Amino acid sequence: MFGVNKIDFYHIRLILAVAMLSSAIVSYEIQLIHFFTIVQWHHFAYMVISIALLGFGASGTVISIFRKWLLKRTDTLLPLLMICSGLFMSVAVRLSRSEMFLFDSYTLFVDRFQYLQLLLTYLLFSLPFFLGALAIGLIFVKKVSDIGTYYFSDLVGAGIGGAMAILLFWKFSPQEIPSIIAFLPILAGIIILRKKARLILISFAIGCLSLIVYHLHRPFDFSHSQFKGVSYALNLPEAKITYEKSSPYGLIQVVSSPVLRYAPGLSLTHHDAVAPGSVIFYNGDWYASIQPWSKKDTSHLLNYTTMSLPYAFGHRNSVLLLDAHGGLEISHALFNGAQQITAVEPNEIVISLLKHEYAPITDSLFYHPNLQTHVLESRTFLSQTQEKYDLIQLPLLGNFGGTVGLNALNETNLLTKEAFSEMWNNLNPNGLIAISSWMDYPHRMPLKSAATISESLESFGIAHPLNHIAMIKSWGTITFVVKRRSLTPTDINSIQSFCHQYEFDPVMLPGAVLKDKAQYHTMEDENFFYYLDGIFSSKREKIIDAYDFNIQPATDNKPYFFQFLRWKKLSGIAKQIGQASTPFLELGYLIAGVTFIQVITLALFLIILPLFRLGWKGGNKAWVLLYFCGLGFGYMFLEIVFIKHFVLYLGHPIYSAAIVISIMLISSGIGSYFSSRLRTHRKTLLKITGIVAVFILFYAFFIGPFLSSTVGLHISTKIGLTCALIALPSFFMGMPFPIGLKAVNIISTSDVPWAWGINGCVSVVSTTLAVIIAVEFGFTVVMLFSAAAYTIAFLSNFLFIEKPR
Amino acid sequence: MKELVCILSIVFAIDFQGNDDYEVARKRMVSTQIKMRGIHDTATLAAMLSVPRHKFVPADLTHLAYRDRPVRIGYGQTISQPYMVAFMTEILQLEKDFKVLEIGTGSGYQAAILAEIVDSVYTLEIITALGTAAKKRLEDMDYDNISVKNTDGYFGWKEKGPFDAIIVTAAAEHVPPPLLAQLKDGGRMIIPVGSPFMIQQLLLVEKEDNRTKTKNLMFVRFVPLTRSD
Repeated sequence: MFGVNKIDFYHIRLILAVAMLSSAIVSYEIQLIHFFTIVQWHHFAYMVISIALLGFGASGTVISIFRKWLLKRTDTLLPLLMICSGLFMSVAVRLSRSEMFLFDSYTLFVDRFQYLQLLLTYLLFSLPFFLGALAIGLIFVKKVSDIGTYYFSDLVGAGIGGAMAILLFWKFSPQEIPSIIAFLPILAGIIILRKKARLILISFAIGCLSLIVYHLHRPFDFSHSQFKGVSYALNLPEAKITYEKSSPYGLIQVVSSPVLRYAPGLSLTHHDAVAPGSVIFYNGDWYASIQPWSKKDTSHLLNYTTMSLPYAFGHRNSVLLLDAHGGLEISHALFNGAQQITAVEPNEIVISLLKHEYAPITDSLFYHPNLQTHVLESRTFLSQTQEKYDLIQLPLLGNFGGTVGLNALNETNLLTKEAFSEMWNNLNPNGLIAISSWMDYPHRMPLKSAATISESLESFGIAHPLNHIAMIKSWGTITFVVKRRSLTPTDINSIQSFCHQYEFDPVMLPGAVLKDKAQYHTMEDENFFYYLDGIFSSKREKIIDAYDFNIQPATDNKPYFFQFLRWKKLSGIAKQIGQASTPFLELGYLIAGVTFIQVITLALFLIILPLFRLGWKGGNKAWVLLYFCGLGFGYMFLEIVFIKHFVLYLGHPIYSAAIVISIMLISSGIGSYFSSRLRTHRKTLLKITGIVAVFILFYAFFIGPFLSSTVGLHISTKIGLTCALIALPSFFMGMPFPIGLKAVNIISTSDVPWAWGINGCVSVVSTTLAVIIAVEFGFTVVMLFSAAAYTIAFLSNFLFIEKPR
Repeated sequence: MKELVCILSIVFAIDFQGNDDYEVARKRMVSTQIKMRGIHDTATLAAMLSVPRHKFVPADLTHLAYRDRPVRIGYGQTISQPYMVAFMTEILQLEKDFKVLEIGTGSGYQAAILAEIVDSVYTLEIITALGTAAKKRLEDMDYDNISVKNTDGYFGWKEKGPFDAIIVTAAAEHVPPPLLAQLKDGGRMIIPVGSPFMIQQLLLVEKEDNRTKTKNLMFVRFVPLTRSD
């Protein structure tokens, strides 16, 4: 009796330890994304973490090869692996800042030495994932008959880990969080200690905990890449960080220097020196400028830029500023007499600092009676609002000189055709939309904006789009306005006078001829005008197709406005501008491609390697491979599409992503728990995978329209709907893996770790592949791929040969 | 053995380089990097031939002085690629009696090139350590027509203006209005505008009858310096 109770108690401790470890791994993964996005860029975070997560696949491979040896020693190994996983969580981030590992993704394509450091970085960050996954994998293999419970614990732990990461971001700095998370796996290791080697392991755990406490007391160097905007700003004389806050929104820093002056595309007729301001950096990248402003000011800096075009030919009473950032456009609208200004900004930290710490600099601009602010995704606001506006203004697009593709994989829901359509519907009859962009080279952003406007106007049934558009440029910026009604002769005269007064060129204006287009500012490549005219002609499709870069308008299905790279044109571009320069044009998507190649190569290696030990035939190998590949691809594809849909639906990106991940994992966990009650045979496998495939197929066609039709509901109703919509399929999606693993155990016990490894590898491959599919074909196709993957898992069950019990 | 000597001489070329070698390297630089790319202004070519560029780079990097690339000079700054120096000099259409303002002294190399062509050069450097070192270097080289001042170049040098030409060698995010005000009518200014780590455009600003025109001359790309430095 005593023995039974003891075993049960260990079983509970083990379940708890899996949840703790899993929770730590997910939190750590999110923290690493956060950390690398701050010190480097998002695409680098994506590359390193994708490779590191292959540690899960590698654990399956190792267990497959050394199964017997490992299983014999689980009493010692499990706590040891968990403690080591925690230890490396704390150590890896710290070590990565040392000279040996210090890596800069920006120089990857010009400095071969960086490859070695990249490899070391991969290895370093693989360790905590590999060790943790090895512990979980060993438990799964050992307890496969009770896999439903253990997988439940794993998924619920992971779901809690996602939410925990958000909480930690509010309370602790990016340097502290890895060490705080590291406590969990170590504690998990301690609670499952058994008699064997207890003293040694306890001593080791205490040593690790002491080291982590030391790490917490001695934060490591947290410098950004020297190529990030904040590093450049901090090199300026007397530059200092005057505000810093880390939160789930990322790291917000404000840098002030007497030589930081912001004046985008300033007219050469502006005779006074531009006053120094402060700059807000978001994860080390330029976000917004805080310019001194007073109600008594007699001029406004933006009046000397092309961004003043909307005010040059009429009074705009009600103005909607989307992604208002630093507030410069707000003071500009006030200066030009706007009476009702609505500013939408998704980052609540930015709004807070402008309302509090920096209120004196801007004369309490954010408390102005004419201003209403909303902390929300701009696109979500557009979908919900019933108001009509005289002017809807978008933020200035891109960075000076281009973005080198650093934002290529950022989903920009505000710059899609559907967003443009919503803006159009929210305009007063005489209202207009204004978009400004930095001039880049090769020309991409202005041409893609033009293509979006052209296609949108055509879809609105506008017979003569050019009568609705004015486009002017300075030496550095270009501004488009699109008016709901045709431009009148008075409008055109006013725009011409404005251009003459400030020495801007009317690039597109009814009646403008070629010589007007470069009156003040001659361009090196005047083909720009040819392409621009072509985009507004019947040749649009041909022009877009022939262009070296992707200037096809972004859509909600493919919301990658800043992704310009076309793989088939890559060699042509390289010839034109030089091999060495090419990576600096479109770095982000190029790295996504490189990551995918690395991940697929390593994943294939890790999947194939155990077969040399397990044998190539027998044990339903084909079924195991197809079934677990199907599950891995299907689950991750759907998770990525869910995050995309619900971020837009709920309007708060950070919390929305956390809700989606947590609900999905916890529901799947519950599904896994219930799967223990199901019998393990082919019929069950067929039923479950079939249900999931049908569910996803149904969602692929109906979830988009359903969310669009309910986006205007109250946020609490939307959260309820979100939970229901995610939980239902996720519940069923939690079942196929544990049932499948049990089935593998019945037909060939030694193949269980191989199946676990396949699932681990494919989960990573699918994440990287989903991004490429979304960019090339759109999110609907990703969802169809998810349904297809589950269908493959479903069909593979016909290969499953049941072994008589 | 011969191969070994050859490899060693390539690897340690700099250690055995004397003044004559630098002169040869300079001549090669002018003929292969500058003339061949279309710079034909005789005054610019003569200046590029006469100024010892290796004296403007850190002692441990003199082997890179005549290469077709920028070279680090500390404080996150570089001495521009020889071709860029020649290009920016030629485009100003300098004459002997011109008064030229340079923003961003750096090592002082561009100022020295200008001083070979015009009567007076005024140069401003925001990083004190660089400005002080450049001033001493130029004095040691007997350039008595160059005035160096450590200050924020954004405001120009009003007391010494107006200038016939202004050359800005550090990337700016807009054309500073005080510089435009200090440019003579009929004068030319060359300025790289853009983000320092992205692609910049080299802008020529011409002032005629108190109206200004700009011409985008070329896009230049910042290449991160590699460890082979």
